[in-house]
Amino acid sequence: MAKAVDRRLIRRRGASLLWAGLPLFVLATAFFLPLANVLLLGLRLEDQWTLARVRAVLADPYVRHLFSFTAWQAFLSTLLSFVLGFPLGWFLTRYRFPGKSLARAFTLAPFVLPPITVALGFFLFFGHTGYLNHALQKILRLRDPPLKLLYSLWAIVLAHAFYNAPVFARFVHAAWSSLDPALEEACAVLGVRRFRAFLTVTLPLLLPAIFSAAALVFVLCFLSFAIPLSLGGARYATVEVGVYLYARVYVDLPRAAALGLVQLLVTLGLAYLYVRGGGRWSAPQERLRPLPTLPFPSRAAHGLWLLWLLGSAVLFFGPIGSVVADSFTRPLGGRPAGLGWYRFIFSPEHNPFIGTSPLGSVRVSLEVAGFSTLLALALGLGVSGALRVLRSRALEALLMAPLAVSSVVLGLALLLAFHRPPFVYLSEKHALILAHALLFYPFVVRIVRPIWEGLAPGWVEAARVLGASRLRAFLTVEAPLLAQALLVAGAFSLALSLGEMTAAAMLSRGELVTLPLAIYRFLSARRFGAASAMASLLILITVAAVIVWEWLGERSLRHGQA
Amino acid sequence: MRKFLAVLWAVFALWGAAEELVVYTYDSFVSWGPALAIQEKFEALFPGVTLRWVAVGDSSEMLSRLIAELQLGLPTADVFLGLADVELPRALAHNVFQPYDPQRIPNLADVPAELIFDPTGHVLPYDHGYVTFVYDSELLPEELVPQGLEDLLRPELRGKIIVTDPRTSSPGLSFLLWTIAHFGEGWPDYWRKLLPNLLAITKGWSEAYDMFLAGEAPIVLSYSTDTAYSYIEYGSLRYRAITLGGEAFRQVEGMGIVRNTKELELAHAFLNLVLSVEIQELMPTTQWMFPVNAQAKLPPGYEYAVIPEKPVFLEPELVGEKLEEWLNQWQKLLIGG
Amino acid sequence: MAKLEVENLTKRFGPVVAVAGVSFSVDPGEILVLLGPSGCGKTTVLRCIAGLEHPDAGDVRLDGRSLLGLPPERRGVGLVFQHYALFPHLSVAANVAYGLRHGRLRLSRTLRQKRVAELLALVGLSGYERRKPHELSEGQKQRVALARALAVEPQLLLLDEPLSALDAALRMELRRELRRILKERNTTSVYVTHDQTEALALADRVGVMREGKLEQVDRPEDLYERPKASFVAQFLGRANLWPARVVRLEPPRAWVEVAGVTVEAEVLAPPQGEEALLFFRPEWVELGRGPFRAELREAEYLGDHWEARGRVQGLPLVLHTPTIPANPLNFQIKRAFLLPTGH
Repeated sequence: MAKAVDRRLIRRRGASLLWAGLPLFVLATAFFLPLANVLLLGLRLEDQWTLARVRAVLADPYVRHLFSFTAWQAFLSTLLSFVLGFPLGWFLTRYRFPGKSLARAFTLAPFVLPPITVALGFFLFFGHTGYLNHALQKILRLRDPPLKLLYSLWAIVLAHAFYNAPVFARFVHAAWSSLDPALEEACAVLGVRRFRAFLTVTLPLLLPAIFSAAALVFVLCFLSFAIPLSLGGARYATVEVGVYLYARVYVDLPRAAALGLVQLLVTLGLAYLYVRGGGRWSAPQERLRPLPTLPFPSRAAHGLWLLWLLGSAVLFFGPIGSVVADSFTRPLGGRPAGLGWYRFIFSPEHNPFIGTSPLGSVRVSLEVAGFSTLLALALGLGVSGALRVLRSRALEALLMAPLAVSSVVLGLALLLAFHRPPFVYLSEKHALILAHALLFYPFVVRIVRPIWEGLAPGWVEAARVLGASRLRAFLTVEAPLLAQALLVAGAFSLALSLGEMTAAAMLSRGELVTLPLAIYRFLSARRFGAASAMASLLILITVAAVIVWEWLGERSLRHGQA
Repeated sequence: MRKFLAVLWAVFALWGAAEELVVYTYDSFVSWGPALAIQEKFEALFPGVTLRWVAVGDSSEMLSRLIAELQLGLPTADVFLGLADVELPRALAHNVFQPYDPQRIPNLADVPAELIFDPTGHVLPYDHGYVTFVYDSELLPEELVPQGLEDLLRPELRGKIIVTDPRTSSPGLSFLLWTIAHFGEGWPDYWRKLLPNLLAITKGWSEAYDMFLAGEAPIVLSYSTDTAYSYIEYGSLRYRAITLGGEAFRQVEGMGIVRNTKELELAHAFLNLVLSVEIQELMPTTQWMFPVNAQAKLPPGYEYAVIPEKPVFLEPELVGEKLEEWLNQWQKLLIGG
Repeated sequence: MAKLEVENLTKRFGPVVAVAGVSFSVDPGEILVLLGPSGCGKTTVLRCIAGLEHPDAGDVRLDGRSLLGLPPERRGVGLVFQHYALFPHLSVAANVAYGLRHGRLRLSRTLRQKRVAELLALVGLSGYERRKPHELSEGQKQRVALARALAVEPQLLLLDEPLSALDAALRMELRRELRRILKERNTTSVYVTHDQTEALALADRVGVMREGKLEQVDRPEDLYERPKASFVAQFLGRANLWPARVVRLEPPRAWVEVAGVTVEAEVLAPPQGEEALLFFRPEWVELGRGPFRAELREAEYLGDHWEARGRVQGLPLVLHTPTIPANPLNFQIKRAFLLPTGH
């Protein structure tokens, strides 16, 4: 009798492992094997396994310089992203105001912009002749532009913060709105002032989310390539520039792989440290009622915070606004364009510039982004579930590899994976959808896991006892409780997919032209105004897609709960 | 099961191969339009054959994708169009191309010998041009317009020059090679003195030119046809290309037949078509490069395109041999090493 | 310990009036329990006193000093939350010491440790200093929450349904202990609950709330014996409330007719008009003889007595009998009160 029960238990555990293991298996065969194939090129010399290449790469003092500079700028960028993103997350959590979902969707706009457009926005706004200097010169009656921000380390850090502050804002917002408001009230009635209560209770409880965001941002900045080159001037090169040089200029794949391997070990090592360290801070908590929000503007809003927020808004909207403004003001045939560049990109005779119609690009981009987001969510949840069962920190860190690997290496791995069976049978579009899902599910894992871990197990147990299967318990209990996290993760995935370039370039067989590729085509044809118009269109599409996604998501989750 | 898949794969591959010629090129070749004209002509010549352009990225991105695909044994292109002359040694080292058969390319007869930069007979030129500096005549006083490479070092030009990165952009590399050709061993000294005058060293040409148009700096590294471009497109002579002491760096762009193609006939026909007068006459106003076919005429407005008296170039073989050393030296110089 | 006065407290949430002009006072060292069904506004009263909500009208005074202008952290008022709101990232000791370390007192480390040890001893949790909240049972969490609130020596302690998440046995044990601790320390307290047994056992005085209004504040025995409204009578213990016609009214006495019988009753609140309610507890009857004849439908054995339910000429009836009751059953009312009808 006891034996029979045991066997049943084992079978149950086996089933849940299978459930969790399936996505891992798919990932392993689909992506990690090709990735390993490429990276291991760096460990082979004349059919022998050897560390000689890695040693040779690391012996180069310039490479060591690259590593130290890359880490330093990534650290500064993460810090500034936090400093600018945290107040934004606070603001989104604390206040309600008209157009809040619009503002929230806007924070994801930088993600979709190709680095070249961000660079354009930056020099149009912060440049010597940019809007900001122009305005300051007028106000302060100066002859020379007062701000010399660009072409320095600070420009790089600022641009990285522009990209990544929203990561902090979103992560903090998701975690903060799931805190029990009674905790802060408890501080107040214990005689603790608000700021001190924030430092001693709220902040420590937000640390897992902050750590999670910091790990992501650090890795993204560590791998940055175009931004340091474009905004810092060539003086500030990152490790990725080294990988590029080996792979593209010297066309020495094994050496590129060796450097890529070292780079990956550094980023994964950091991810592992995070997974070990950040886990310590997470504490399960019950959330009993939603955090109350205050109307904005209101008396209770502190002036200092708002000033800070205004600063971030300038940093944030300045470059984006400049790109949008550029699409209207850039001369076309000697006159300011007005809507001219938009007419240009939409006129059928100019379709050859991008090889498709702009609406065709919009449709392709949206289709790929939508389906890859759903797939990334499924994959991310599966992997998060698997990690709950397996509890391996090394594995958890390893699974971040698609985010942590050089885009050059990643491109080669995708090439290898998608030009062989079984993926070679996929159409170009389906291949791109799958590739994006593989690239962006780590985001889903990073956002969902800390919050899933924080859920009290009692709820699922209650559902199971009431007769729900594990899957049903997940769908009916955990999924609604993870709603906020899933919405945020989906929004990120959507935006990332809309702006993605590496996979789109590597997997293209000449059929699909996504929006960022269309922007590049206009740039390469010297149609800078058309590129700005296309970039503005991309921003618009992204904001609209994120709003629709959040609206649909909130609606269906509310429906699911009822 | 495996057999079935193999058959399926073979059918798939045959079906794919019998129908089309795949050409890899850089994106501006498609976006500027010559690709479309070539396609129409080609498909008219070979009914039932599709010409498929794959153009996602610049020349170096497409070349490295091609090399990777060949190394990994993946299906790839039949023809590659857009190889910079200085990239030739690396392409040859990776055995990317097979030799072309001059007999099957009659139009080759009209291409001057000095432009055929590959003596091994793998890669053919299809256009050429000159990398040089362009200035904004509304921002730069006449007396500061540089007359020679040394003039770029004038203290008045501090922070007023934008160039591109030799590691990531082809005009950037051309400029580095130009200084090496001009100064010989002394080039690092020149660069050390030049650095304070550089406002930015951008990743690619687009950023550099975009910044230049926005008025961030009055001098930019670009192409000798820029004046012709702005005259023909906008009727403006505001942006003026110059030679420095009669010098500008020559770039020749080439094309070749990929090593393992099965479409030799179609590939040769394609190369011949690109060298035809009709297609060659499109190059000046689509690629803003000079045609290689001596019979091709230049369009009106091209009188503003600058042709250097002393075109500068380095032998691709020498570049192939020394490039890594030069770039290493250059990046160390940049961080003050 | 301080005296609390709440005067005409009113709080609206949008169109909903959560608290409508509530007034009461609590003497130094007294335990006042606010009792009422969920949604009656009792928690809102508590949150207004603590400063977590801002009342729309009225005043809250501690020792004659109005608290309204003060933020929660400067009111010197302690609050034990319904679900404890323990800081999940802090140990038991750190939770208890929290107010002493970060609040207004800012005691030294040694003093803090001493105080924490005292308080944990008081709530019977010595030795649990290093545990984290999620490693504690519900009852232990409750004790930590109490210790944390008491640590800062508030002038007034507020408790919001602190025992509601516990099982029955633990609840009884803890409420005795709670009363012992509060009395020992002579803490002025306002305690909110929906559990009448808890209210009666714990309180010095009980205030019954209904729909934002305070119906009656009295000592538990007075509230039970002499409720001033039908709601209070019903909410506390079992009650028979029969519609009756007033025959003669000579306060404090009255005679009413019900089910064809005239009954003498005490008047607590004079009725308006002829209509009134006759109120008597199930045990206020003499069984076996009398003018009323009850048809019983069920009887439950409750240990020390039986609780029987039935009807008298269509009027619902509940009776307590020492032995299993006969059916039908004759009885007479020994003691009854006259209450106004309606609300």
